[in-house]
Amino acid sequence: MCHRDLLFCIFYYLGFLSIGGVLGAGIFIIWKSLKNRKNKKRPK
Amino acid sequence: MENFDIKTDIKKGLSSQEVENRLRKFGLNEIPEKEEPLWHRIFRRFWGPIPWMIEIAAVLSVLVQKWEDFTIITILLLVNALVDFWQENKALSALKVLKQKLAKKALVLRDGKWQEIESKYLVPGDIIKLKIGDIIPTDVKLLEGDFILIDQSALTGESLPVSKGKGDTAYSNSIVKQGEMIAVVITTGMNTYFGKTVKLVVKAEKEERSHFKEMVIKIGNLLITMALILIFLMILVELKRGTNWIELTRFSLVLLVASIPVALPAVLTVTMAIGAIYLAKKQVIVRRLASIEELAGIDILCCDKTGTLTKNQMTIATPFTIKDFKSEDLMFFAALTSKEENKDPIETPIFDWLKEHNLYEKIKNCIQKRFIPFDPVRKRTEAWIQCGEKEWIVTKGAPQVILKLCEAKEIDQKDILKKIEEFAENGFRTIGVAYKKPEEKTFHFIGLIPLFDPPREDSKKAIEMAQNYGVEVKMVTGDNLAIAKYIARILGIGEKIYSAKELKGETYEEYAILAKVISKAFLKVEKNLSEEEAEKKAKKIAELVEKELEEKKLPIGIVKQHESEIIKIIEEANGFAEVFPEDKYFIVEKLQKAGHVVGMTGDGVNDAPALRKADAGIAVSNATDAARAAASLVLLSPGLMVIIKAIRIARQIFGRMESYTIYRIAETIRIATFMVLSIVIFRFYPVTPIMIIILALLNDLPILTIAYDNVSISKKPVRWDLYEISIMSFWLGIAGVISSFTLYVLLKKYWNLPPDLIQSIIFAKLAVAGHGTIYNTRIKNWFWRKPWPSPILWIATFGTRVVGTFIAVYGFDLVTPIGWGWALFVWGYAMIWFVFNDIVKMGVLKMYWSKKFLFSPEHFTWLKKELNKA
Repeated sequence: MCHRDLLFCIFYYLGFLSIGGVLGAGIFIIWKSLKNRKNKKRPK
Repeated sequence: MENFDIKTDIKKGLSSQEVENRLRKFGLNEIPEKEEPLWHRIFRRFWGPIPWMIEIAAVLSVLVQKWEDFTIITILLLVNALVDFWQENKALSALKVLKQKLAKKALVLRDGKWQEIESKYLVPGDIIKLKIGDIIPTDVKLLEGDFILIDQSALTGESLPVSKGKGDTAYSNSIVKQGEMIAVVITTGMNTYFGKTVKLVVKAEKEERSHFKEMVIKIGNLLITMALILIFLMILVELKRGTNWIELTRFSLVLLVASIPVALPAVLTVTMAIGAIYLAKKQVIVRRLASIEELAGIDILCCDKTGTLTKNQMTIATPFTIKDFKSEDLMFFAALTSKEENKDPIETPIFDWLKEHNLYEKIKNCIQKRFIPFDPVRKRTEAWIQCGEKEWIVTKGAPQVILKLCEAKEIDQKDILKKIEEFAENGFRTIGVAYKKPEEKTFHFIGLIPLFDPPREDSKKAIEMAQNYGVEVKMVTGDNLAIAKYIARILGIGEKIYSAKELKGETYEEYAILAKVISKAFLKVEKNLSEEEAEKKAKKIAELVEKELEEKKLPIGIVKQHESEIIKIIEEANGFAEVFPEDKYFIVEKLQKAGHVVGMTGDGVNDAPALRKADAGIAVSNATDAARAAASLVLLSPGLMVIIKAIRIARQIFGRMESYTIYRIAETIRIATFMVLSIVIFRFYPVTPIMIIILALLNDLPILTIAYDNVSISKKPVRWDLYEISIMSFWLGIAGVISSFTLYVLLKKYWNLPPDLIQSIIFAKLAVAGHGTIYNTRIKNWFWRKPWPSPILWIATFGTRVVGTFIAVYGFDLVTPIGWGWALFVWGYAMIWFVFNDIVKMGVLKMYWSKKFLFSPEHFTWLKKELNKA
């Protein structure tokens, strides 16, 4: 839990958002790239 | 037959067994490259200005007994060495693969059979065939054939080709310019004339300095100077304050190491090497890595017609026959006066046509009793044919020639001539066909076969793509103007196709007009002809004058155009016809003078000078060895599409290099400026030496993955614009410095934290935010736009951020632990500034592109000139 003043807490919660965002973006990128690779391999 | 002192059989060549024996005795036919021993390659990493700095810092850490610092500094030294070694290894193996793909081949007679083998397996005594365009694979003695013309300028410096005949020796690495001969290998490998002089050649290659290297040196110098000035300032101030000199030297060295882009040349080279491997998969072999950069920058591509834009395969269009005959008859007679086994490009389509129309069997009932092949003087073939009891003499060839042989009464000559003209205007090559009975004097005309080399299916699309990427395709062909215009029209290249003669001022048009005007006036006065009649006759006279002049060489200087006029013509033209190889050189030279980056395709031995002159010389598939050696890129599959794809890939590679360069300069500005100013202004060391080293270590990992990132393809030709790069890096760097100072002020003045905790939080911020900058620079658009980063880049950057965060959170006896609360604060803070940096980036780009504010053309012209001099 946030234990300091408002300014600290704003960045503190933004930190959660930031880690979540970076992780989410990364998982999406990896999923997308795996999907593309699969599509390329699939015979026409 | 025994030959010289080398036992061989000129009819059968060597046996496989004998080849094996000789290979064991003489070794491979290659110049062994002096490979650097592994130990030398490893230890080289610890010798040089940068390693020295790290080593001195390590020694100083021992002196002040800071053992953790010593350990981490040693790890940095080892990691730097390892990364550098690994990168070099990757580049070297990439070059090796490319080299293998370009291995020279030789046509050799062994066990009585001609076979193509790699030149390195040739042994003394091998019988080989030399033909036009070949690079002679080893020293040989010429045995059979009339003569060959050899260009041995690479060896002896003689500028003119030398004629050699039976019994003469031809040296390895000279080029066959004309002729074909059989020869026997006399020496191989290091024993050849070339082998003995190879040291000189290696020296010449080493001295070559590319545009790319110049640029890397320039960026490196810029950063080193900047870091040195800042660190010098810091040392001056700190010495005055009485700081311990050992500590100061240690800190300065570490800071210098972190600021200098040690890995920049290696990263850029590896990015190109990995790109080159990818290009090789797409059938494009890069002979010089630096040529990728030139390929990315070409704005004009001079492209061969035959084989690149067209299929290099003659095809029959709708034939023309006179009454009483059908197309089937015409093709049947044409086939009778052809020889299928000759695989003549003009005759093959006739047989293909018959096969397609199920008429092939019909010709099998006929016998060719006599056949006179085509020759340039008679301009026709002739065959005496017997089909059952019927006998004919059939001829085919140049339509005007065939017409002259025919019974004039039977045909409407005017009508046929008109048709011939019509075919020629549409770019068709036409063959006339006629026959007669053996007892008859004159032939009976049957009809005309129009042939043309159709465009490749993908050519039109490739040209459109090239135009979309800002590359103008100019067609260059040796064919006549009508054919060139026809193909250009079909492919949408444009209407402005000129004869190469016009470029050199060798045009007869002026004379023809003059002849027409004078003759018309003369005919009107002397012969009292009407306006219409005089016009008709004058036109004919003008045509005759033009024809007459075509065979005469005009004295130089009769019609002389100014160079700027010629350049303008070349720039405006969509293509050139009747081009000789030397004209290609002329075209490239003039376009380069006008500031264009020119790509030129070629295949023949005479194309070599133009390919070398062009910024990106491209040897098309099946090009001669000489053309391949002169080109910077070699295509393994035909067509324009492969070139356009290569340009796209080259631009991607360039984009990766550019984004990394901007990132690295911005990071240097951030680290060096923030540290130095903080020490000078606030008397506060924002991070400890050990933190700087950990940051440098964490930085090494993601840069290895930049070569695999997805980047957008520029819609315009790209070139190194150091001004743009510097401006972008400067503003991103400044934004970083502001964010770090703001953080420092918040921590120190607002929250009043102890110095060691502030240092750890700043360390965490630099570790988390630093790699965010890669995501700012990798795309010239908002960071969330496509193309998205490659997974491997994301894994590397996220991994290092996590490692940096864990070190800051738990300390591990290296830094003061900050705990998860501050770590989350740092991630939040870094995210806000990441978005701010992206806004800065977009602002700078928009202003730069619209040339507003500080970026208008009249601002900083001296700086632009200085930066873009390379």
